[in-house]
Order: sequence, then C-alpha cells, then structure tokens
Amino acid sequence: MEGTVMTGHSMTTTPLLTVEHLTMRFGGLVAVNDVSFSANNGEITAIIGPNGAGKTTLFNCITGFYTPTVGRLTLRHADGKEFLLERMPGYRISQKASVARTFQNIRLFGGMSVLENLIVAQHNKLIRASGFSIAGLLGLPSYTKTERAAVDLAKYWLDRVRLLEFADWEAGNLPYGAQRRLEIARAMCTEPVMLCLDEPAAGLNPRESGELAELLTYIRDEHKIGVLLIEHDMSVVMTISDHVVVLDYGRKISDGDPAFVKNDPAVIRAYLGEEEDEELPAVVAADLPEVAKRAEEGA
Amino acid sequence: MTAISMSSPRAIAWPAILKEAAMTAFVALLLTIPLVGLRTVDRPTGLGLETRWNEVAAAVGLVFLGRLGLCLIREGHAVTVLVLAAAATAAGFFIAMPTEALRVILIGGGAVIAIRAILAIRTGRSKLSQAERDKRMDHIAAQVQHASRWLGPIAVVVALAFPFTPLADRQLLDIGILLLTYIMLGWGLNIVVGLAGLLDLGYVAFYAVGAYSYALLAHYFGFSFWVCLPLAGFLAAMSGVLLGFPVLRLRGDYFAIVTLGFGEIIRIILINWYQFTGGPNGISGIPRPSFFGIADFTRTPAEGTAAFHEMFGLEFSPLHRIIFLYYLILVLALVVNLFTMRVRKLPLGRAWEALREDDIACASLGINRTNMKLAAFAIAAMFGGFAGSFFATRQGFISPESFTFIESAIILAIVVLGGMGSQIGVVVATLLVIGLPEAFRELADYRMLTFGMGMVLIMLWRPRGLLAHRDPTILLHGRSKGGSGGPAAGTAAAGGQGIAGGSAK
Repeated sequence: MEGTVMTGHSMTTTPLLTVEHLTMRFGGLVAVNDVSFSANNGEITAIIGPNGAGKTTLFNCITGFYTPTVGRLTLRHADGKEFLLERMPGYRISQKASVARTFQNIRLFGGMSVLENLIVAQHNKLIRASGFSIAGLLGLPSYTKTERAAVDLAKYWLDRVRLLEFADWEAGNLPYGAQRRLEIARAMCTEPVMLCLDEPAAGLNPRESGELAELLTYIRDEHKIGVLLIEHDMSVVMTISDHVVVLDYGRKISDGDPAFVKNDPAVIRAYLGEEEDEELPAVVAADLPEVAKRAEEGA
Repeated sequence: MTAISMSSPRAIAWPAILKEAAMTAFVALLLTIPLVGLRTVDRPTGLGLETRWNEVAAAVGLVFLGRLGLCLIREGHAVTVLVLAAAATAAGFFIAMPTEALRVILIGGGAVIAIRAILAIRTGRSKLSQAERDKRMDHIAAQVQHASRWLGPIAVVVALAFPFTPLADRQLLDIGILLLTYIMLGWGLNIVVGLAGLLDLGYVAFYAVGAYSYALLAHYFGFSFWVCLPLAGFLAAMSGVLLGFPVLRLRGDYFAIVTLGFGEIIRIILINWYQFTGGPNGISGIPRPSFFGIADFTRTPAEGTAAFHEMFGLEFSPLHRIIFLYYLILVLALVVNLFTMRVRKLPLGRAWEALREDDIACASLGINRTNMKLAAFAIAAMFGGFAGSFFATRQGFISPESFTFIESAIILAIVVLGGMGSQIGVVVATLLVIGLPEAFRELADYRMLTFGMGMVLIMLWRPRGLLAHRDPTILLHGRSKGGSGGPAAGTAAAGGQGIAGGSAK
C-alpha cells in the first residue's frame, strides 16, 4: 500500500476499493492530482473538500464516466474477485463490478413511474431472465417469476425510503427530497457492493438530512456494503462517516477518521484560508509532518 | 388570456373591437395575397400569373367578421353572435359562393364561432386559460388512452369486417391499405422515436431497403413474396445495425442529421446504381403476392398453380386481391402493435424508455446503451422492411421517387402529432395526416393549405402531441386506488399534492 497515507485511521480488513496515484487531466487542467486512498467494506468513506477540489471528477473516474489519465482503481469483491475499474467501460462497472452511484443533479427517469425506475435498475437481471426478450415476448413463466422478485426488491427499498404509497406516481412529480431518496433506492436496487453518493444531502432541510444519515447508516450496517460519499454538509459527514478523505485543488490533503480530519491544520487551512499568504506556508509545513511529506512527494 | 365574467353585458367599445378585427384582417390579407390571390398557370408562352382578388376579398372579409364575432363574445354578447354565426353557417350551405373553399371556410368558421359562443354562454366565460386548456386536453388524452383498452379491439373488429361491408369499394379499400401502411410505419418508427427517444429522420431508408430487397430478389432470383418478406425484414434490420454502429455514439441533433443523411444515401445509391437497381426508372413487373403460395389471384393462373376464385368456388373478381392485400397489411400492422405493447412491459422496452428519459443514468445502472439502441434500431428497421416489401408487392412498381425525405417527414409527423410513444395516437394522427387529405381531394389546391393549418393548430393546442399520455407499464397499487392524483399522476395537481404530502410527513 505504498503511496496510501493512512494517518489516524486503522486498516484492519482488505479494502473494498483501492485508489492508487489517480490523476485526471483535462488538457492543461489537472482536476485530480496523484490521489491515493482506500475505502473499506461496511464503512462510510466521505470525500470532502472545497468547491472545485476535484471530488466529482474523482467520482466520475471511479464510476467509469471518465477514464483516468494515470492511476489504478481496484475493486475487490468479498469472494475475492478483483476488478480494475479504470479499464472497464462505463456501464460494465455497474453491471459486473456492482458499483452503483447517484448524481449531484438528480437523474431520475422523470416520465416513468417510481416503481418503473426501480425495475429499470434491475435491468441486467431481468433481461437475462426474459431471454433477451424472446422468452418474455412469449410470456414464459421463468420471466414472470423473476419480475415478481424484482418487484419485491423494489417494494423493500420503497418501504425503506418511505415511498411505498407513491409507487405508481410519475417520478418527476415527486418533491425534491423524495426524488433524492428514490435515487438512492434505485441505486440500491442494482444490489451493489459499493454505493457512491454525490452530494446526497444537497438541497435537503436539516430534518431530511437527518433521515438521510439514518438511511445511510442502515445501508452500511444491514447490507454490509461500502458507501462512498461526497458531501458538503459537515453535520452529515462528521456523524456518519467512518473515514474521511479531504481533497483540495485536486490533491489529497488529509485522510483519516472524522475526529482526526476535523483537527488537521491542513484541512482548516484549506477551508478557512490563512492569514498571511507569503510566509505562513513554510512555517506550517515545518510544523506539520503530514504537509511536509506531501511536499516531498510533490517535488 | 383574460376571462371576463359574462354576467353583465357592458357597453361595447366599438373602436377597440373594430381596430382588433381590422388588424386581424390585415394579417389575413398579407397571408392570403401570396397564398390565395396569386396562382401560377402554364401558358404556351411560359409560366403566367393568374389573380383571384375576389377570393382574397372574401377571405379577408370572413376573417374580419370572425374576429368581430370573437370580440363580441368576449364583450358579453354571446347570444347575438351565436345567432349570427349559426346564420352564417346556414348561409354557407345554401348560398353559392365564388369557390368551394370559401364555402367550407364559411361553414367551418361559422360553426367554430357558434361553438365558442355556446361554450361562453354555458360556462360564463369567453376563454379558457392556457393551463386550464392543457389540463383538460391532458384529461381527454388520458381518457382516450384508457378507452383504447376497449376501443382498440373494437377498431380491430371493424377493420376486419370492413371489406365485407357494402361500403367497401375499390377506392375505399385502397385508402384503407394506404392508411394501414402508414399506421404500420408510424408504429415502427414509434419504437425508435417514441420509446427509445432517438430522432430518426431517415426511416424511409429502411422502407426502401425492404421494398428493393423484395423487388430485386424477385427480379434476379424469382423468389416469391412469402420467401422475400422475412428476407426483406432481415436485410432492413441489418442495414439498421450497419447504420447504428457508427451513429449511435452521437446524440440529439447530430444523430438526427446523420440519419437524415443515411436516408438520402440509400436513395442516391438506388438512383445511381443503374445496372443493378434500374436507376430512376425503377423496377417494374414486381410479382403480386399469391394466396400463401397456394393459389393466385389471376383469372387464368399459370400452369401448375391454382386460382383463388376456383379454389373457393367464387366468381372471379379483381377485388379479391385488394382485399387480400388489405388483410395482409392489417395483420402486419397488428403484429407491430402487438410487439410494441408487449415489449413495453419487458426489460428491453423499459430500458428504451429509460434511455429516452436519461441516457447517463442508464449507464450508471449498468445498461448497455449501445446494444439497447441497436436493438431498437434493428427492430424498427425490420418492421420498416416488412412494410417496404408490402409496398413493392402492392404497387408492382417501385422507383427511388417513392422514398424521398418527405416520406420520412410524414411518418415522423404522424408519430410526433400522435404523441410520442402513444400507439393509439399514431392511428389518430394517420387518419388526420393521410386520411383527411384523401377525404378532401375535392378541395384540390386548398388541401395542403388546410393540412398546414391543422398542423399549426395542433402545435398551438397540443405541442406534445394529440394523445401524449403515458400509462405506467406496471402498477403496484392497481388502477382503482388514488383517485385523481393516483396512478395517472401526470398533472400539476398531483405534483402539488405530492409536495403537500411530502412536507406533511
């Protein structure tokens, strides 16, 4: 695990996701610069950082929407299967490696019903059962059985996110908070091993954020999957995360458990700025072994 | 959009009303001078212009009166207007006008204004607001959609029985075949445009591939129609895949432009590959379909084949073949419809609709977008190919002329006007787009003008298509529950209720 800085965070199990030296360049702009970290199964890993720190870019690399310029992304299933995510085309990451995600700006199938949204999420399972539509067109019982199971799974998650009574509604007509919950339910219906959430608490009121935190802890504890979370809402991040990674200007500046990160001077500096730009960096760098190490690596 | 109470008729503001009517008449004048007033005629000396000023004057006068009537309804004199409009309608029936077209305008316009007046008297308001009208129209669309559950089978039975009714003469059967061909093409294109949300401007290319597949296979190898029909479908599907591979990575406008180009490429190949396709001369003498390869529809069949009328002990009639063709296209169209209705409830169809709604979300759910789109393309192309080979066998002659861009545009217009994704919408739109111009052939020149007017009206009133209403393909709580805001929650009211429900928790 060279290159992975693990300060203040113990590493007991083999990580679910290992990100090594990930770099993403868009022309001259380096959006993510040599970031390495790992995320464990059954834990909530939060990625935080000021605006433009490269969080969403990092996410898009992990979920296959971008192909990283440099770096390796390894996902390990419980049965030992390994997937190199940077080599897989976008849809395969969900299909084969079982990574599900939500979006910063909600992307539901607005014209379809809530239930249909969750059934579409189980597409791969169902299309196999429908014999790539041939058995389905003939109405063979094997398909109807699988579809019933899919509806049951959808019902389970609808119940979880308290949308059961809205199952037949058009998804686009749901209120904002419900749409956020539905998107998480839809991602969970793909039965992922890792759930990636891009700012799930954005636009939620405090009560709804609290419910979201509950839902995420439930998913972690009951379904034993890894959750990767980008979030600005620190009340959510600090209460539910097991592990926090902080990015600033595309670089990782801190990595550890919430208590450690909260008190890390580098993080405080990134968020609150420093008083005298000219002299302070050297002083702070000398004080903080963490930053010194980073500087060495960068050189 | 002001709705003024009808309770107390006020003093009429004549100057304002006359000004408004005059403005409208002026706009009508500007439009009618080029469209109606001038007409090009062929003269031995070359192209000449003929003027028809009385028709322009009559049209402008009618528009002026019509607008005046509408203004008066708004001002609270609906009863007077109703009497006058009814009188005008009656006059249209009995008094001779300069031309047939003006009579139709007088009758139609008078009737519309009379209906408006009646509505105003009944509801106490002159006009519905845009939102209210949308809501009502949506409600009607939803009702029609629900009614299609039993309307559909009735329509099929009527269509099946039609050739045996005394009404069915050669002309009506031909129109029926034409309508069914377009309905089939509309349903086929609906898979790509309505379900998968891919704007295909070159659907006619697959129609052409199907038609030429049959014509060429019959011409060079002497294959019969029943062998060629599946082959034509297969070849068209392959051409769909061929086009799909490079094109499906494009999105939106770029995609539309490339499909448009593909349609033209096929047509231009057909024109220029003279040795093989006959070029602009087309292919003639395409064999007619036999009765499933058992019997022919000729009076004196060739050696070794039976005659249809002898086989069934009927008097020979050339109508037999027409009726057979009618049933053939009816069955083909119904196959397309049945396929679409079933596939909508399958993962494939749901994935198509999901792709239409949000492409990127589909990728995040592990849906192989390329394969899904290719499937949509290939299947729609296959149905286009079937329709094409039917077209070839019905006409007996095909040439690249039949596969111009305007055909693609008409089929697309049918799908869009009907309401994207709506099966019954395609039928209604075909009746409007193909049926109406056929029915109003007597109107001659004005046929296309009324057609254009109809399009403008639909775009104004129903911009999302006539019957744009989508029912979920699977229901958890069943149809009965929920009342107004229940399953068919496509209305603003339901959305409002949702917000209320959400914050109440």
